Amino acid sequence: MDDSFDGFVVQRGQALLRFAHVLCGDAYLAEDLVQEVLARVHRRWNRIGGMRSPEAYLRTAIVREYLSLRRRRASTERVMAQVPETLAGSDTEGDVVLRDQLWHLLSGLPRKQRAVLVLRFYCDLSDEEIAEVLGRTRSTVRSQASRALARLRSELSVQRTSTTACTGPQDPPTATGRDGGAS
Amino acid sequence: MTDLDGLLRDVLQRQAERTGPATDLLSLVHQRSARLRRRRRTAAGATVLAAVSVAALAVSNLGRSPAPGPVPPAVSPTTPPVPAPAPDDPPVTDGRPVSPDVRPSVPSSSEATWSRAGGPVPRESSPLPSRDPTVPGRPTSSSPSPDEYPKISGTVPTSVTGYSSSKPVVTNRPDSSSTITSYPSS
Repeated sequence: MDDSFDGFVVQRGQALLRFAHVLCGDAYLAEDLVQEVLARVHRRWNRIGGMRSPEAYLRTAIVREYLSLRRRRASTERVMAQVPETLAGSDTEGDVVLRDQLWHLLSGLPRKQRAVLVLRFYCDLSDEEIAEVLGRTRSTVRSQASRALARLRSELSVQRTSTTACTGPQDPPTATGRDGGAS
Repeated sequence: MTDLDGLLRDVLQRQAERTGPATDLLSLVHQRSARLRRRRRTAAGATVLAAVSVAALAVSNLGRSPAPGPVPPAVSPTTPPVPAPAPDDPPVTDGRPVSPDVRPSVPSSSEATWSRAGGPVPRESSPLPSRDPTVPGRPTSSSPSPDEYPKISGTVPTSVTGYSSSKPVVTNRPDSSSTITSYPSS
């Protein structure tokens, strides 16, 4: 049993770790999630290892473990290794900034919405498969994805607007600009 | 918006590639698995120990004779009921507190009749006069059947929480007082 389990962890451990990382957005939490799930399935590996796709089972277990974690209070400050940059420069730098903004916006989503997006865009699962992983209906998955994407779009547009306003050329105030034209 | 979808895929792939290598993942998993196994064994051992303790207690209780039923407190109908003093407060005589060694030996009815865990206490040494069997409504046996338990009214219900057939529960709260106002008519 141990040989099979060890071989699976050696082969697929890195993929599970990557998946957990994009799922939770935190490398340390990802390691914790993966270790916890693997330690739990270790003693039942005889049964799980014989499944058609043990990795899918483990991904489901990781997602459910992640969703069952205690919710962080949204009002508290969040410790980040890097402060999100809001600079705008050339096109390439703008793309990097945009990706960074999107990554940080992803970590601000509710966990279920984030899990839906990760399963859809990282694991390329269909809505039915996502519903099966999350234990929800297909319509719930669709609505969660729709809400998550709408929120990302709106917040991205807000950030882009504020970035442009901060770094864009300063228009000199005109005499009639503020009041909308004094007649 | 297809742009956002593509951007999301790109972001997730890039972040996944930035994940650190899982070098010692296997050893960490084995350590955690062993810890879980130890914890599970400890919990199972504690459960077995608790079950064995409960069974031993039950067996030892089977050998004991059943405790007699509760004795109604012998309070004369003409005597006013004595409120139970609070165990923590020293009795007050003439406005002055009295030390515990000279405390008057007037036990409350609940303290004199019941122990907290051992059930009723025999009343052979009771200083109160013996009961007259001819008086109707008074129990004549020192251990009446559960049907003959005295009815309690007034402020008693805070101190007597319930009766069982052999061991009633008496809580003896400090703020409670016992007042026996009537006896069963049988």
